[in-house]
Amino acid sequence: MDETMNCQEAEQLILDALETPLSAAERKSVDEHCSHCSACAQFAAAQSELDQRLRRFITAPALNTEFRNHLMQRIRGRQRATIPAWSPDVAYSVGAFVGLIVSSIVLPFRPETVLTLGVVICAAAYLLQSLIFEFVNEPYD
Amino acid sequence: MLLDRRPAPAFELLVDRYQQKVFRLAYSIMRDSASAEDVTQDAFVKMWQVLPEYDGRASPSTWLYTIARNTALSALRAATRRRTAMLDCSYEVPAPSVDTVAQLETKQLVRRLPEAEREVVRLFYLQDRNVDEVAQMLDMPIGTVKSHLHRARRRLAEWMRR
Repeated sequence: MDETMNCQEAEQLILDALETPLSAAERKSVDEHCSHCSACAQFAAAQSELDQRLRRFITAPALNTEFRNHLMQRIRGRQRATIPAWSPDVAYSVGAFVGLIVSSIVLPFRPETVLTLGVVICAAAYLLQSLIFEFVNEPYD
Repeated sequence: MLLDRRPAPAFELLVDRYQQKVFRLAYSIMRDSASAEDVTQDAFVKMWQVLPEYDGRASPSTWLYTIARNTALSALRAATRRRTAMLDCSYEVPAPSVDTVAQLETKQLVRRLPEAEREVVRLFYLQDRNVDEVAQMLDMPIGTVKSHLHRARRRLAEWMRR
């Protein structure tokens, strides 16, 4: 039997060889060991047979050739549907600003009074809306 | 590349490079081609959605594999729940041909392995026997992947001998 290698080391190299090729020296040592040790030779044969079976039977089907197109279509669809999360806030602010200016011109009260009241009401409405989104609903989802 | 604020071309590169690998990862968990494809799609869509948050600390492939694995596991849990609910339905199982007996035997033996070993063995053979790739996909050290593989091989050879 090969004096430089015991059975445990031989088995380790036999298993390693199924993942990465052994060096020429390692290969030679294992072969030499197996030529004198029937247990390790049987172990190597069993592992080789097992490896062949696993290679043959654990296979994945091919990915659909249209996969990439379908994925990109789905992503483009999402891009169109997605609006920035801050858009409603901007729309709300612009609407409130225009509403306040128009009200201060049209309503038969002093413009300062209309503007002050308008700002207070808008701020309160915005806060209320934020609270509702925070505690009742997920905003813009 | 993903940090250059032009996600679309970088994302397309990512899809070209990893679609097969992610599909095989999903297949190793779902064991069904159609479900694995759905999971692969979902994983890439999720990756696309979180791309603006990518800070470059982890490699994109590690990130993608984590998303794909989590997506597949959730899908598998949902599928298992549906299957359990449908247990009363009878369905016809085709008789295996002679050709598939060895395949069935091998798959049954693999199924008997402890979960971690089973997952490593499946992925190793699905990913063209690349230990590094399996380690990255499972977020495991290479040494751990190898020891799972070796333990599984010893067990399987022993079961085959009986």
